[in-house]
Amino acid sequence: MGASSTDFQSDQILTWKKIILYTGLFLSILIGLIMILNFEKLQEKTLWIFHRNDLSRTFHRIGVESFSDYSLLLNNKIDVTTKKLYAFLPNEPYIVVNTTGNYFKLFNGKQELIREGLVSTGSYTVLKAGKNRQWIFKTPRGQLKVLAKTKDPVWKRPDWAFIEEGLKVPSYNHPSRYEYGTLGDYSLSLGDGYLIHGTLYKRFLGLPVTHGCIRMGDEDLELVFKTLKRGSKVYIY
Amino acid sequence: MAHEDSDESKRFSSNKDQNHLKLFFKWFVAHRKIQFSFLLMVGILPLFLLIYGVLIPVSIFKPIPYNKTEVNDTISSVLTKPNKEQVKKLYEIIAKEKKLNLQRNRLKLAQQDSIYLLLNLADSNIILEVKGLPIRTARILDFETSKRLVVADHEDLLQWISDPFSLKQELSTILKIPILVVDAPKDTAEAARLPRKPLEPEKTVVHYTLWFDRGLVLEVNQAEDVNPEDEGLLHSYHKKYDSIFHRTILAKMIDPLPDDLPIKVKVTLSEADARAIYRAIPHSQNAKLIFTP
Repeated sequence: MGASSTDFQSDQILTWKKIILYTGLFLSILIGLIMILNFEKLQEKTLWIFHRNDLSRTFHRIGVESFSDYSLLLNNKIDVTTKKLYAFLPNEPYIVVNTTGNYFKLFNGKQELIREGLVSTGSYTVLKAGKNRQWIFKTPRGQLKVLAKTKDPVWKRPDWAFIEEGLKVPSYNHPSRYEYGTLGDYSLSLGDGYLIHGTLYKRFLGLPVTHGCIRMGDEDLELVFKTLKRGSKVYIY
Repeated sequence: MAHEDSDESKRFSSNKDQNHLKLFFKWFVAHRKIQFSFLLMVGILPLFLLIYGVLIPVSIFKPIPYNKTEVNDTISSVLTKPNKEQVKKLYEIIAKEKKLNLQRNRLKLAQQDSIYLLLNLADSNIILEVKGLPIRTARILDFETSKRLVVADHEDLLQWISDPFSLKQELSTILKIPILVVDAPKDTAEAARLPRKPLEPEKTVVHYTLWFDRGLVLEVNQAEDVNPEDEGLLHSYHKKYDSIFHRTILAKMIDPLPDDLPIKVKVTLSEADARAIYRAIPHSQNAKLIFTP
């Protein structure tokens, strides 16, 4: 009876030892895996132990005696670079057009905002006519210039304007190409057929619906037309 | 009666289990060697990983490993340390050097025609600029940067930011160009049935990540809450994002801290700012970023 009880106890202890061994191994592997998966986070958290923002190299480069001289030199260099940068900035009125939000900001020569409002810009529609002809209706981005200004502009409809409506394309100077009043009272040419002009579809201002031109409301267009000159900069993004 | 029997046997077996458990813990508490062996077993692998995968690699790692010139660490370790007054002046000089670097980079990019991006964490803003003229300034509502930028030596940092960064890769929840392709109609009746773009401003969630050269990764998230209908889109974005940054356990074990580990900067902007900036920056390679930490 006594012997069997001792056997039972030693069996039990052996089982417990096995449980401890397996639990220990399981926990060890589990913690290890979690650590490996989070190596980057642990490495970031321990960076400060070995690396400090030590200024001695900068201190050594500049030299203790030349602190104020170097500071003055830096001021001078910043001024010179800033002046060079100013040469790129417009000293005449300019306009900035946002094609994502479809609005404009008009600035005077001192870079002060004088007017902002809604516009319509390119719809990013691609019109495909057969295999060889296609047009993408997008507003060009970057820095452009006002190349020409026209009062009471007449729109000479390009080929896509007919193709888009399922109409036959007329000859180059056919009267049906000319539309009066569609572009509003004024237009400013940006080159390559892109214009800033007025619109009959004022409810679409603030939306990307055009064939690449920038459409404006009447009052905004009048101010823009009167403020910008030939050569004025147009920034589109 | 049978039901009562089964309840009784369950109670008995539960009491037996509790006794076993009590005995086990009594035995465990009484044996110091067993406790020590258990802790050793649990701790040995994590300890090894901590030393092999974290402490050793971090100790020899350079927070900014993209320098043109090698620095002699032995020399730098014996350099004289500045005193408090000198440190104050040094910080003023560092600010000026960063400003000069910013202006020089702006001047470099102003000579090109492309729109570029200025990320200025010191002023908490992102600026879209063309030809030196800021055309949109977006306020950074929140940001988080890699600690490497905090602990990095100014000398290394200045070299790292000395040139504009070039975009290498991008991932976004929104299209760069939301194009709609339509075939030309055959007649006016077909023209009337042509698909049109929806006449309302876009509302989809804006999250994107831009990978630049020299390890810089800029993550931009919108501040506004995500619409429930956009959650699927965001989920698939995160899945792609994770797959790009994912390293296998084996790769992590072989090289726990690679030199080309990205230096991440995460910023939160308003939805309108985030969208406008993403759409405005040119396609990869041509897109440049000037970074001032």
